[in-house]
Amino acid sequence: MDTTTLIDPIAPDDVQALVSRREAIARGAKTSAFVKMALATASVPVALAALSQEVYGQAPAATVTSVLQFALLLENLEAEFYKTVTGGGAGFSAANNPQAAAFAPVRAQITGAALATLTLIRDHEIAHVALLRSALGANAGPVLTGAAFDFTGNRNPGTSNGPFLPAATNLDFLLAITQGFEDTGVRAYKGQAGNLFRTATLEVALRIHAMEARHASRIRRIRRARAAANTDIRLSGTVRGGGAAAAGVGTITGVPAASLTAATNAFNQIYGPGASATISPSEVNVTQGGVDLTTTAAAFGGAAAVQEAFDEPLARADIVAIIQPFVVATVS
Amino acid sequence: MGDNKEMVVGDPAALATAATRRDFLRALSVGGTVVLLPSAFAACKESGASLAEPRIREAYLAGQAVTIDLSTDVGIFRFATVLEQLEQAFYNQLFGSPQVLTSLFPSAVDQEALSDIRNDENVHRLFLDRALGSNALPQLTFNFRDAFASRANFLAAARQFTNTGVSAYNGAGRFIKDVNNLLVSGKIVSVEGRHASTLQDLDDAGNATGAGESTGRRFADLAYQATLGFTTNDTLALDDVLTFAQVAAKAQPFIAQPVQLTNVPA
Repeated sequence: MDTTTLIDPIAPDDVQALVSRREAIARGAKTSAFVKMALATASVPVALAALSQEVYGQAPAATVTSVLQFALLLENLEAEFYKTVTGGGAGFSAANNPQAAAFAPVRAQITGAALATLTLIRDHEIAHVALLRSALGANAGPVLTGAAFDFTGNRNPGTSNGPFLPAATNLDFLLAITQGFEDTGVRAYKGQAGNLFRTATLEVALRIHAMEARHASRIRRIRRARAAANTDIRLSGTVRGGGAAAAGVGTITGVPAASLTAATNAFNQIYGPGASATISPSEVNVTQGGVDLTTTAAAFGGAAAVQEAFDEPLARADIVAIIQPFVVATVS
Repeated sequence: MGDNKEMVVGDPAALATAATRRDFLRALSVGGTVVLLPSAFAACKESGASLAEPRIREAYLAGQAVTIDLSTDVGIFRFATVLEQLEQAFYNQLFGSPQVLTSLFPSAVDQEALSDIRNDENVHRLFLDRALGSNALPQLTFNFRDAFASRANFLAAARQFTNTGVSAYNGAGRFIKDVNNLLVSGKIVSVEGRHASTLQDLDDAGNATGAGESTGRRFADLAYQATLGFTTNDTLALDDVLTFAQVAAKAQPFIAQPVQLTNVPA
């Protein structure tokens, strides 16, 4: 299949014919509870987006709500992960985070610039949660804490005995998992871009998306500093190759085989193809716009450079499969 | 492709012309589909040109005005090419002179990071040329001023360029008219974000591994990016965004040709 179906774009003249949003409001255009709620909260861009959706009659606001709820879960997962690792952050308490104590050994190994980095990323994720909750209003659901997640991967933070438990004691393993969460976020936002097509919400999502990419890039450099010879981990912060080979876990030692296997399986999902390799190719992909760019890029790194130059999306179901082991509730 | 309700569009810009647009709307109204040829926003597969052979690239004369019409995706991606050309030329100039490279960046780790970025920017530009086909932007002429005078100067320019790239793709996203083109820009913008993180780290540290690093936060310090003239939101942790005009203003001082934008969406 070398063709792509184009889904009803708004032609420029149609857009020009539409009234401005302000005029639409003045004329009493139908305004949903979602829009009113968003307007009443801090996130103006999201409110405008929801309104523009209604005026243009594109995707129903329910779609945007669903995307934002999905994004909120991902941001919650990341925020609580960093709170658990650092043992702090807004909303954190030992009482609402049953795993924080288990991560004390690895926490003691995080110092200096690495600690500053993880703390900054934590606060970014907390801010993203707050932004999305604000935009969603009543649709945001209950506030989630560390008790909603199990970062050992067994959906039970009380027992903390999943296959990723070595992350609580082994800094290299923890940082690999951290990179995996960040890159999952990058692929998830990219996968949802189409659902936010031609909305101002898209701009907010893209701005979060770029932040996640910055984070993922930085984590790679922290890891590389600890494993100088591991060139699978690019100092440029880009993703070379696909599947577990793109994760750079080859130099991690001191982790039980079962945990390394679990991590390898997870990375095969995180950097591999989704259920539909057409919609969500592996990060090893070198074909863009239907053209294999390997030869085009021959003088500039060839296939490896093409893999690095483009990040790939993952569909919602693919993301759910990746994160489900870490979320106590069943994700749909 | 046997469905007679299907319309094949080699160049989406053709949708803007009356006849094809009527066909386009007709195809939609009868439940047909519109199919873009493989290359996302312009293809030449069926027009005789070989996809394996890049077209002979034209170049603008110094001082020749460059007008980019942003009313179509083709225009938006032509504008993206301005930035990708700029970054491509910038890194190729560095790697074009081993003396300058080793003088500014003696560290092997710095060189590895910059070499990856250089390759990525070349790939981005070459891809855009292939995708735009006959609409590809001719070669611009660049002047990087004193960027090669020192490591600090180079990194200052580099982080300006890459943050401009991030902010440009972030700002353009909602004006892209084809969802597949949006996805392509999304695939590129996160890579620019990765680069921005790297370059700000290099600026923060003695080298890419963080030796001599002072903060551990520079890679995504939005307050710092704001001081460089980017629109960020530190409280909401939102990365850079700029309008088309703001992006053009940032790039123009380094381009010999005056770049003029028309039909700027807002």
